[in-house]
Amino acid sequence: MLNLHKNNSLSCTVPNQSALVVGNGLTASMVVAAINSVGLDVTHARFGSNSSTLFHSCDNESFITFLDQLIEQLPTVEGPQGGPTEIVPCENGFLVTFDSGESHEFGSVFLAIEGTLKPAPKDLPAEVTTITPDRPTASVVSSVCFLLDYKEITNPSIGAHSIRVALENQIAGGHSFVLLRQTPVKGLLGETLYEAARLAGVRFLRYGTKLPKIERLSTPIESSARFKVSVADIIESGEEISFDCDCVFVGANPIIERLPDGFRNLLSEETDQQGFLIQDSVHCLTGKSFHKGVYCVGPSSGCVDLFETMMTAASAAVDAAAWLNFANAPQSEEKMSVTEQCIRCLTCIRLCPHSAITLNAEASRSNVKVSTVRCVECGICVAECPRTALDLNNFLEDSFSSLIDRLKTETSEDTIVVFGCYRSAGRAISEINLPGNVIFFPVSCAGRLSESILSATLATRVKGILILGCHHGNCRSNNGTDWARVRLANMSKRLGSLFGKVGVISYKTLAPNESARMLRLINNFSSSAFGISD
Amino acid sequence: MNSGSLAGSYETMNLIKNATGQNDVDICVTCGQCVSRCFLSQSYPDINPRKIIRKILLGREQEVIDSEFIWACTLCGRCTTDCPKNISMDVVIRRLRGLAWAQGKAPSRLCEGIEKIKEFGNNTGVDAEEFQETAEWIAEECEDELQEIFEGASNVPFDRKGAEILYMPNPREYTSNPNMFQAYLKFFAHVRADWTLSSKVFDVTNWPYYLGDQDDAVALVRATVNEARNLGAKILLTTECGHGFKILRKDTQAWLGESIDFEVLSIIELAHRYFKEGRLRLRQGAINKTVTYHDPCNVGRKVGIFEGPRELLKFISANFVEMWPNRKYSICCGGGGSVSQNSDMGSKRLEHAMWKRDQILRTGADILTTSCQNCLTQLGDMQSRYNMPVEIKSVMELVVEAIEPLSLP
Amino acid sequence: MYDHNNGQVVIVGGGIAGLATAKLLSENNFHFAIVERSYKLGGHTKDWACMATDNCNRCHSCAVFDYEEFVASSPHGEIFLRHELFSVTRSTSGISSVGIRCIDSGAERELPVTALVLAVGFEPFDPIEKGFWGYGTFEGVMTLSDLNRLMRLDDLNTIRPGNGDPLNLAFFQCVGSRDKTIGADYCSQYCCAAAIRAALRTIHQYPDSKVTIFYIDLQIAGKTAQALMDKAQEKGVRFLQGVPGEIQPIQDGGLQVISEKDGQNVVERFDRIVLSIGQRPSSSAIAISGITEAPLNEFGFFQTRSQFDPVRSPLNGVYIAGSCSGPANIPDVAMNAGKVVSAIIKDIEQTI
Repeated sequence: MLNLHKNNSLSCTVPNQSALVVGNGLTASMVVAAINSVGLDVTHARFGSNSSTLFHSCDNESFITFLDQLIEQLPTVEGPQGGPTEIVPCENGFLVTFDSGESHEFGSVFLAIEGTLKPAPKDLPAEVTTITPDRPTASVVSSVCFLLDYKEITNPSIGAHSIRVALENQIAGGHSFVLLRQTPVKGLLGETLYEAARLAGVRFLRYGTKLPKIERLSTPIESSARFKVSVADIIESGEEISFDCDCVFVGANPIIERLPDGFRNLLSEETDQQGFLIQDSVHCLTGKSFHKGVYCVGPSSGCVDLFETMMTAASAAVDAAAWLNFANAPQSEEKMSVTEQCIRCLTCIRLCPHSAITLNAEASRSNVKVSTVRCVECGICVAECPRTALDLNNFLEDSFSSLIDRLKTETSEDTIVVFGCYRSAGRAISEINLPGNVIFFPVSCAGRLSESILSATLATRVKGILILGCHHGNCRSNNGTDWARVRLANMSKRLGSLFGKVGVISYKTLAPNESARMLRLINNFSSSAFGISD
Repeated sequence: MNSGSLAGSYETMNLIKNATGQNDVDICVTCGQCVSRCFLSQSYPDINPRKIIRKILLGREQEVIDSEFIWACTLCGRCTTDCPKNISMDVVIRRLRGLAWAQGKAPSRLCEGIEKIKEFGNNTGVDAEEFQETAEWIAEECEDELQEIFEGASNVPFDRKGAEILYMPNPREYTSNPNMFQAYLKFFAHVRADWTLSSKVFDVTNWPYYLGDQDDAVALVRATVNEARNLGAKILLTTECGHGFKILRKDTQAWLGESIDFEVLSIIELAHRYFKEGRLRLRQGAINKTVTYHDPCNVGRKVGIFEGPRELLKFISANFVEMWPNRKYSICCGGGGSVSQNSDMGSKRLEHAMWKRDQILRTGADILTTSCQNCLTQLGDMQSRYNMPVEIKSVMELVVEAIEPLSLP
Repeated sequence: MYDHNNGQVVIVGGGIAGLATAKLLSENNFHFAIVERSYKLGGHTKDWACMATDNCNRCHSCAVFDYEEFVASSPHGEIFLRHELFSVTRSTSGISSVGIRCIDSGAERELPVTALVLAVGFEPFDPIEKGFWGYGTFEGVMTLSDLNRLMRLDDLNTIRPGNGDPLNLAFFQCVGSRDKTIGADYCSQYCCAAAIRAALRTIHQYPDSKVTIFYIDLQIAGKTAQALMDKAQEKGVRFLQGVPGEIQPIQDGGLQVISEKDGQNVVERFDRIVLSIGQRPSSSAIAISGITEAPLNEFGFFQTRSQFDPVRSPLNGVYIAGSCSGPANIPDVAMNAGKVVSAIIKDIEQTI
């Protein structure tokens, strides 16, 4: 039923039910299986390491059963070797070029590469190694010490895995010690695992700001390294407790591995402080990126938990099926219009957070083409277009003109205009009653408000303008709120001393469940506009 | 070196595990709830229940065995009430005391008590003859009142086979506190109880229990049970006692490994039962004062008697008020678990009882009642030490005061 | 794509799990029907407050609005508010139809079923069950839900001391979680991060506030953990290991607790104490399990086939979504919904 996608042509095939999975380890296998489950065609491009960096806290037997079943259900879906060097959005998919130079078209692309763990901290003896999914193995029978939360909180998946191995070692006749700040009791059965480990005799030592000391014992005993471990338990709080053990493992968190160039270019702005991909609140960490049809599963998004990765893979696959279903359906309306004013400056292509705008190959027509399926009508491009060549069909520029005309005639001394993103303020407003002097105008995104709209509104001599965007980091278009903030800063710089005379303008952020706060923000703004301090 | 200094702790832990049955101490998740519930937390700022468990787990139990804390602990069990892992701290402490006792580190007064128990069967050194004489003398002291209830009520029954109730007093009743004994005599007379005392076993207390001396503790229980069987009693009735009642009621079957065919009741339970049946007739609102009730740890938290005494007190008093916290969360008086008997503790038991004092004072009650002889002694001492404007009585004393006049219309 | 018009998926519960599942089903051309007992969609999440401190702190509570809007306007679905499940009709492969009843009118109707999704959510732990905390007795003791309500209504000012002193607030973690005595011997997963976010949100609004978080083990999973902790520490949130098991009122109207700090027992005073209450199985889980015969696990949550098959009930044709199979936070529920829909697609594909 499932066919390897073998389309070598550069043109788009409709309908496009294909998915590309990039990765080489267990994560990629899970993604392939998940995509297969929802009935999409899957191509698997092997890229990167094939050693898994996914941790699990169940017993080995059920894990092995799981892997067997997973491998059994995997279709043969080998694709090009190596990573994509370029991923270019096209009409209802992506044109992907590989290392080998070949190009294929895919409806959706999945980044599913394995991660890398940070090396063991330098101040520990060289023989102390990091905990990996396959090391230490359950066959360790000796005294073994797991050092968690050393300098940073160990990922709970790695911690839970350590406890399980410690328990297995204890049951097999060894001695296990776990040094930690926070016991990971992840999932419904985390507490059960922790309890089983304690009852089996695994010793948990809880340290505080004083880090444990690990010393290599000077008497070398053939191949096995022996250590002296000293730790001050925060509860017992007496002198340090020290004991010897044969091996010490330290929990080290994942770091982002080298991404295939194609993904790095596409997702470069969608990283968190640690460089992990896709940290958007809008999509609830379900593997979606801001680019429709682009997904990121497993370690490259910072997740090293087997179950979580499995869940994300399923979620992303279901979403991809939904996306392709939508993308391949005939679209009834154009979301944007492009006039002949367009000078092909490419600003819009560069700025669009959704990769919805592409260059129109047919030179005889308008210069840029807007993908109806990808566009979410944020209007950031409209606001930034230097030639006002773009417009959103459902949120017309004209509506601002009408508002401004209305303000010119109707404005009284105390009128305040509130521009609010429909997604946050537009929803919150349904629960509140606005004061009579406040005009609320919903916009598609705070990033839609161009400086010219704001200037024109101010020029109507309204008392003030309050812009309500979504909270920073929660913009459906990633950086719409940043645009609003930047434009406001520019305006206040430019208007300078004029600012106080022509009115007051302010920018705040809001969520849909903050109606009460919205009312307070408006009232506070109102008071300050009239020279009353908060 | 195998596992360094931690190796030794397995042994102690196993000893403690054996003592606690299912409640292994290594199940502790160091949640810390117990720290805040221990009324000794401020008097012993560097030790607390959680730390004790931690020391045991880390092989430092000797530090605890040597500490005063285990003797200052009243075994009240409040710290581990609702313990998320069901640990029973009083069991752990008793085990530690047992280890201390085995090392010759138990307080001398308690050791003496044990010697007396071995010799006389009770911790005061009163023999059977002396007990019988004293009991009869105490009854004579209130002969008029008893005779008024019915002819012959002042005769104290001894060793009556086939009596429904075998009454087990606390030695204080025939030494320092005879008025308590008199109150019980009046109660028995009023309800026309079919009761008896034993001239062989007449001490409800169990000091070996305090010392973690399990063998002797069990021997005492066995003696009491055998006497009840011998006399054919249907109810083994204990006085208003805490630990003695709790052991007989809760631990007997497990300790002896056999079932018993009589009921173990506290006298307040019997009073409440008779009150419900109409056999005990009380004057509603007879005590025209504000009354509060202190739940003894053993009677309340450990056995679960909360509502009976309250129903009685609410009926007979004009105004009943609660302390906070109460019932199973009640704060210990500070005198339990051998602390009152242990002369080494000196007056510390009063200094440790500030939580209880403040709690009592907050109620504004005129009368503080309880149903444990040990609590009564401690609360009485607190009353004089801190000049608390409150009168201290046992529930039964107050109940007896509220008994209806005999001559019914 | 398959033709999914042959039947519909009935989802019991219109909270975030039900909505997320319905959205994905709808997007994949399934018909769905949501059966919800209350008057509104969105469940507990709908009452949750935004935890942003101008920057989004990833509480994801706003996601429910996106889901609700999508589901309510979907042409593929029906929504039955104030309705409950009362019967199921079985077929060889699973369940063929369910009976639902309007709670107000008693009117009954039969819905054909290709798959039944149970998404009945959780029940917040009621701390009155454990009297030591004095919840319901002392005004200053509140739950994380209570604090959320105040934030939602923008009434955080009401818990500040009247004399203008800074608010001294404490959070107690694991209230009703990791507790054998109430059968809740599991971590509730959401509360540590929720408490830290609430602490940050409070400090953001009133920067002079002092916040202490008493915890057993901080469970903030994954990549956001360190960032959230760093932010909290930077803002002066104090973390103390060990959760006091008793709260006592004191003269000035404050609350006093005893805790252990640096190995010493110490007494501390707070204006307010917030109990981070755990997730307990839904109050309707037993009834629904009785009607459908979908078994419950030892904790009272709906049982699933295995750790690796976490959304299928052992009962054919029944799927378990969201926190009714175990405590979960919002992203967990969203991911879980994806897994549910993926399992439904796969199972239906195999039967065709």
